[in-house]
Amino acid sequence: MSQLPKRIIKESQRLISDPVPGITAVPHEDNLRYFQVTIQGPKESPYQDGLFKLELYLPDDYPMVAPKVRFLTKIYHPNIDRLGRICLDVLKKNWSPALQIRTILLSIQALLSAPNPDDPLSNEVAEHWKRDEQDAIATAKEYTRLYATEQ
Amino acid sequence: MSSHTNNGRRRPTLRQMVETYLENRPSDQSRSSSNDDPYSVVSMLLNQLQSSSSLDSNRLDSMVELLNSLGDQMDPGSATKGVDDAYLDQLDRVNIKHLSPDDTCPICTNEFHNDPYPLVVRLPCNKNHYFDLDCIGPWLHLNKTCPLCRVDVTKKKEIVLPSDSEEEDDYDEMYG
Repeated sequence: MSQLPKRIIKESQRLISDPVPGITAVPHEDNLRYFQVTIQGPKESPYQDGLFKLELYLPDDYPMVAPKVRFLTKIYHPNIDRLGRICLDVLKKNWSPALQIRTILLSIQALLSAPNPDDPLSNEVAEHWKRDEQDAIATAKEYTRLYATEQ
Repeated sequence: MSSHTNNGRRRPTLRQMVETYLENRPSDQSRSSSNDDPYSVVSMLLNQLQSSSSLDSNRLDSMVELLNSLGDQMDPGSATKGVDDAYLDQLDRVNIKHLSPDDTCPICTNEFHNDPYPLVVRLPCNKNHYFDLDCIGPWLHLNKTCPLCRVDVTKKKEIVLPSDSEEEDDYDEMYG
């Protein structure tokens, strides 16, 4: 494996020494470009009290290209699909090399507080959200209880 | 975590397929749209996958991911439009003496002063938007936007606020 860029080392160290509230990101010991991430469901969102696992991978071209991030925990959200893939502008066309792992994870946390059914990745969920928001939120809470809460 | 290692191994294979395809497709200076047609890439990928022995869901996921990233690259608004070397050459150089010791490049996050021969350039969008040339170059080759403010850096410096004398000029023009 090629040498790890200094930026990645610095980012990893800071994620541990100065973590973002509600977020953990730990590099895997066998592959320092692969992070195991947890995000706490934001307060007053349907994901409150949930702890969501994600995986984050820094491609070889990082930071010229965005990290690849995916939810591992099942979640009911109009911008996250069944496979955990996330529809978020800063992960795609609005990526900038001045963004970092921590800013990306913050954006994902914010996405949990502000689902956007008008720019859906998961159409069924988005339609549910638009048809009956209260009911969709109830489902999201149920998913949180079932899949994102320590049993 | 063997599954991740497997994933890592599988992905380059698919990428290689696409790279092979992209290298072998007809090279046309005028970049006719049919050559970049995403559908031809999709059909190529499907053919490759059909001819391969197994089609498990992981493999399918990787393909979808790859197609998504291809889609991004083919979006004419994004990656296809970077700047050339001539643009990079004409960027304002920043004298290292004017930078504080803890000033860092927003891309590599290293202090400019750590480099014995720093080459720092400023983008036209903002006088405080400066980077190592080695860091901003590869980005601008693929994107025309400033990493800090997303402004199109090829749009000329017309945003420069007019000085007092120019305001008077404006007045004259209105009068005329």
